[in-house]
Amino acid sequence: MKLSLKKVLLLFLLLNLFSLLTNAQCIQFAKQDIFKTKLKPYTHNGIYVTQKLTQGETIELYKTFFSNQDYRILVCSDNNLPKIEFKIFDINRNIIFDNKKNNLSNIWDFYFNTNLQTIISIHVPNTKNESKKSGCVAVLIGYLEN
Amino acid sequence: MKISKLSYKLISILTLLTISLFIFSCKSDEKDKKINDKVQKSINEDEKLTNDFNKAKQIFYALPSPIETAMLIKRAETTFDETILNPTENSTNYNTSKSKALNLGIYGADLSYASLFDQTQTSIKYLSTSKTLAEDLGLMNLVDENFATRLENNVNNRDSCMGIISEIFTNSNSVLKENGRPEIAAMIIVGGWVEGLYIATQLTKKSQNNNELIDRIVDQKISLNTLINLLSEYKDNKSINSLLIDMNIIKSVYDEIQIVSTKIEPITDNETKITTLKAKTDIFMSDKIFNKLCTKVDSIRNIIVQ
Repeated sequence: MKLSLKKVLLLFLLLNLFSLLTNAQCIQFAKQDIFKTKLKPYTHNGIYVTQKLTQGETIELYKTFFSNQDYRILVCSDNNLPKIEFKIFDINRNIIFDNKKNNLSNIWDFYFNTNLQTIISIHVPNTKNESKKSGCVAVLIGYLEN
Repeated sequence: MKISKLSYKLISILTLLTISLFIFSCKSDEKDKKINDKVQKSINEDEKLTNDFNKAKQIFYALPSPIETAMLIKRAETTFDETILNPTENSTNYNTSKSKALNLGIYGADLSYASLFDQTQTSIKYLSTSKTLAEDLGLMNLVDENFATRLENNVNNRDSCMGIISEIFTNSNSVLKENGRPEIAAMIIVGGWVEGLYIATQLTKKSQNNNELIDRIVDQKISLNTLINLLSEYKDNKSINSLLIDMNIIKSVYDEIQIVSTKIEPITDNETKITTLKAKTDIFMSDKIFNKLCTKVDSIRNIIVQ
């Protein structure tokens, strides 16, 4: 099948548009008021990390937390996805937190007495006997104002 | 140029947002994965822990957001000193996209510093200069007009303002990517980062026992690694490559600073469910190394502002 240059360009544009729309969908997803409510009384730090993920996929967020400050991490996902697994590692990959040991809770409140660079690992687990599903996943970080 | 108080607040926020754009939420692509792979190789991974995460990963980098940075500076209890800022008169010297972008970052950091210390007159001056450079670079067109109106309508509601700022923060990242100008954004970031470090190092000269501020300077060792990763993504660009060399010069001094942390001990309060993570961090940095860092930062910053 011969494809003209115009058709190839059109296809390329449509693919890009789809990608942008998907990203825009996830940004809208992350901005829902319900998530801000779940973050309270912590103040959102202004950063939305959001991505469309398929079951079996993982994203990692490198984030530095500062000493003597209370923080909350909230992991949100589309309803069609299973409960999200998330782990926090220090930069040497020593595990600090694993939500599997906390009933797959999507919230973790913590306080560091030292500055620490962490890796927040977010994983959408597979489910048996079902086709893989995709959906938006977002990470929101809040801090307590002194 | 006359700027109303409301416009001042608005443009101040816009400028800061533009400057901090990519620093604070940088999503990776395939190139990031390659860079990260190199980093990953240098890290002794615990295979047991990572078995579950065996698929190709997407990496995100998040340096402190503007809101967090403001919080950190406030806590360091520093004072305001206008003499350390880049004089606005220098702005007429900047004729290339590179010098404009870098100095927009510089002026943005100066503006941020002045604003934090409620230096209204100075802020207006730096705001006006930043706005001119941003216009020259075509950055002012990237901001949604609805955002400005909404921010004006909510200027007295702190929570709403924060929400709108967060929203713009996210939207701007996408818009700049769509505009295909990530190198300009990276240059603005470098300018802002260098000036932040410059201001901090200059302030320690006047307040040598400000350990909080010295800690914040040492913390930038981590931020610098992230910044270098980001710049490496665009290293084929000649201007970016020269900045990468400068950043690596600063990194070589930071590498002489030893940061030793003990293993983290998490303790969870059963009632509040809050986990306290305790570790002891020791910083080994001689006066000689600190002075060397100040000199390098001073020298690179002064070349940018010339």
